[in-house]
Amino acid sequence: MKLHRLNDNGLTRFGQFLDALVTEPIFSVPTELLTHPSCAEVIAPGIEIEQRQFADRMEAAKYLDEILSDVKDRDIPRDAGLWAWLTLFFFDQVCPVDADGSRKVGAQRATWIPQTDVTRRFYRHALLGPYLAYRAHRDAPERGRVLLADPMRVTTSEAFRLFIETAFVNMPAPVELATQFYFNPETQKLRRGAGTKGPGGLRRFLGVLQQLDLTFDLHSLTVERLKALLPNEFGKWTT
Amino acid sequence: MREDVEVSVFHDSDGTLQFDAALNLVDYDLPPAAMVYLEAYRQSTFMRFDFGTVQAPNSPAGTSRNLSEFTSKDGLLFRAKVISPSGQEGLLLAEADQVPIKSADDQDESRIPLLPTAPEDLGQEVWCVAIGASGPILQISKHLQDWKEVAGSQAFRSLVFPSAMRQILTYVIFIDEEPDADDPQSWRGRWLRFASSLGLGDPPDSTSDEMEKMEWIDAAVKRFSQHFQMVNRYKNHLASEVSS
Repeated sequence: MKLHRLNDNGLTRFGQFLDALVTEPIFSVPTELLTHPSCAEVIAPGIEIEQRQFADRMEAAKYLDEILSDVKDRDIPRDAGLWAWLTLFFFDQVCPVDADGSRKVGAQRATWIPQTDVTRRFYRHALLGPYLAYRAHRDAPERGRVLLADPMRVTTSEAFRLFIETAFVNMPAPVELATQFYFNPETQKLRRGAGTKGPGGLRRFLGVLQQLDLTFDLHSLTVERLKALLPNEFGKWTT
Repeated sequence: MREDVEVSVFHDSDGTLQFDAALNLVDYDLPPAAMVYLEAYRQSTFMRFDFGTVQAPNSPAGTSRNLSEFTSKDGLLFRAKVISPSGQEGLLLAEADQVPIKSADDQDESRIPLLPTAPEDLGQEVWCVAIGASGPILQISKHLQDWKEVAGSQAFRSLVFPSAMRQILTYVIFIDEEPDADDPQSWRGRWLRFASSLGLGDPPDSTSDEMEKMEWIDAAVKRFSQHFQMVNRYKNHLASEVSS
């Protein structure tokens, strides 16, 4: 299918669908909006997108980055119509049908239609957030595995939220160290104890980064140098 | 240092966004070999440019100045960093954050005073923060001989501004809780964004508990005071009083 974006009418119709899902969770997905001339417009002639099953948010973000890197002269991260269209296109993956046949859209509209001008909400979008995090580490995507290891339907990962709310999401060493410390490659999940608020936990890691950020250029530090600057409480992750 | 960093942003003939920057680091006691970087950012989108050293600034040329990650300058900000040349890897020697871009007529595009000042009859109070619909105003007693001079003095700023900031953030986060705090154009949003830009990350939200909110406000005031060297400003004031 040609890559489209929803226009104002399309966004309204998509919003109505999301509203309807709240009260009628078995409402069928209005895929006709994807190409209907009154609701959608081709974003760039010649660019095609296909339905794929993604193992996790990293895989989806990689695919979107490949597709969107061919789109010129558009402010991709701030194009709410584009991201809403992509949500609708991949709706069965980002908001899958439960065993009882219903979908749970929740109360956060920004998960499906991004609020691109709102600092604390733009990254909450199911696809835009992962895309931005992936793009920050596209030179070595595995570095950011801890941020994007969740399946497509999970949009509330704490590791992802903690990082993308700060400038640290763009910094190689902090992100790589977080993956080393807190991500278990065997289970593809956070290690046990990573999510605690206590010493050595992920939240504490971000707190220490904020302290170090006052005196160091964390962007240029190597992983080893950053590790050496951390207090002893993080030693348990290095063994 | 912020006032010594000037950045302009424009579209080149191909429509690509580019920047020009001038950094005046002469007056700072920085090692000549210290490395200089310029960073462009908006929300989580980020680009970093090597700007040479303090001794030999080397502004990127040609396409190296392309802001390829951005297609518009809306909300675009810059940050300059000076980093230790050797021995202490990554040590930050100086930083200017939230540098706004200059437009062709050399006016800061996004400069809106966060805390305007105004004279007021406050009885025997010297100052207070008044919060109205359009945002906070720092009211200064009109009975002072020259309230503008007082407001601009190092002593006044160092003693009053951190306290005023604490009051305003406490109001926004604990008392007001208006829905437009997320709106970057609202005064609440601009204050929260300003505090966040001090390196704190995003403000607490509805899921944060009271302690987290208080800690965030404390950290914001601490960073603000550190950034503007409030103690040193006050010491300078005391020293000038003694010498005069």
